[in-house]
Amino acid sequence: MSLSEGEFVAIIGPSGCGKSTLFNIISGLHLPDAGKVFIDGEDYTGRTGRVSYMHQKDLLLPWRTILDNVCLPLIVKGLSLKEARARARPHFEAFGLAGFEEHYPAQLSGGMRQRAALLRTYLFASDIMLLDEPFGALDALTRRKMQFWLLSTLSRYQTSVLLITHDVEEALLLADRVYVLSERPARVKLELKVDLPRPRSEKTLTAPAFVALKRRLLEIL
Amino acid sequence: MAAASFCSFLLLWEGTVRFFKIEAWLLPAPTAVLAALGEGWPLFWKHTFVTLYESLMGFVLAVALALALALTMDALPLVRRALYPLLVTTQTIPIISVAPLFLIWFGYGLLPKVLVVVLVCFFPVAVSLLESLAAVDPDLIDLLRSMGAGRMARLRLVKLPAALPGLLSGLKIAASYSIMGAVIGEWLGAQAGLGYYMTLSQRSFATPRVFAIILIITVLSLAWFKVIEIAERLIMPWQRLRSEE
Repeated sequence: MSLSEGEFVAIIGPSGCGKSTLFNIISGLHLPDAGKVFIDGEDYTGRTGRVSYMHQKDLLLPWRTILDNVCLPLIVKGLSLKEARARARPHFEAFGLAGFEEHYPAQLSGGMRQRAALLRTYLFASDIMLLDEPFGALDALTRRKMQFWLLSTLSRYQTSVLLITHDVEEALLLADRVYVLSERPARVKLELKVDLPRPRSEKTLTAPAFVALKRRLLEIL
Repeated sequence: MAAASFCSFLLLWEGTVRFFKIEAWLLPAPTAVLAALGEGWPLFWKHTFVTLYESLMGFVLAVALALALALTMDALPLVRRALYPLLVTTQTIPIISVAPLFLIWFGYGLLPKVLVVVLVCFFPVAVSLLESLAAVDPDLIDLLRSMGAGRMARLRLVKLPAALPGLLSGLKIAASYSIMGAVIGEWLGAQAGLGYYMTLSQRSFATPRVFAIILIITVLSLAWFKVIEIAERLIMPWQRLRSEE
């Protein structure tokens, strides 16, 4: 499996096939039984702190304001709270969180909390992000909105993204490439290039090319 | 509602005592208890101060010990496994049977009373902190680990703040127990304090005074509880947000 610079790759597979384990290995939390993780040619197997990882749950700390939550990775890296805040503040506009800096997570909607979690992920490592079903816990409408928001936001940043999802449409809408995993023990069953033109929009969802790709994915799943 | 039922209970009590002309040494009416409290005010105050001092000392000591032990046990699973059953076992020993031993070992002074308070307060604080440290969402810990946060950073940024609500409910229980602990200590042998004054009053059948002391103990325990509750609200403003939703 590979991920190029600036590329968006989605991973689809049946539940329990070990997608999250894969992310735990890439982020350095777990050691693989076999295989290695290389980033920019360097061996990162079992080393944490290089790539950022976003969980399906937002994992915001209820005792910190949104601003201070988002600052968390910067504080772990050794910045003072003041420096971290100054670094985080300018991004609130782009992540649709302007005006909510001093709110506590309990005061925000599910979609906003996920955006805050994403901003925290972005501030930790902006070049490689692992997103583990980031919108899985949201309702269908909010999820669709968040997908388009993510599309437009990422088009402005040079970020490589690995996305785990159950949602075929989400994978095709967002990704440049899709890996389909098999049941346990997981193997790459299919690698599919998504050559849909960018920028993508609601129209992409009904384009014949999109529908053809979707049929192909659904058949193999 | 609670206030109304309490008031009607007091009225019933007062009425019963007056109607059946029950002697004060058997069961004093609420008004008689208040009268006793008013008469002996300086003496009550002196003993209350002693008890308050003992319970405060014991409480602070117990909390310090409980924090140290709980944090050690949480950091070292081996220590946890070795000490946890012991910790629970100590709680099955009735205080009332150990307290006289303290008297034999440490005399009639301040120390044995403080020790009884420590014994009573230590357990709820240690266990509540230990349990809430263990209950922190492992995904949160993993998130911090994936950021490259070390053990101390994880403790400071996530585990301790997450365990705070649990710790504070333990503190509330300990605080309301602390007065009772001091009183039990004094009961068994002392020269001052509410427990000492209570045994003295009991022996001389000054029953209104006994009731007055019970009243003081109850009010003190409730006040202690309230103090921690207010501290809780000040330390954790986000908790209120959640309950407002």
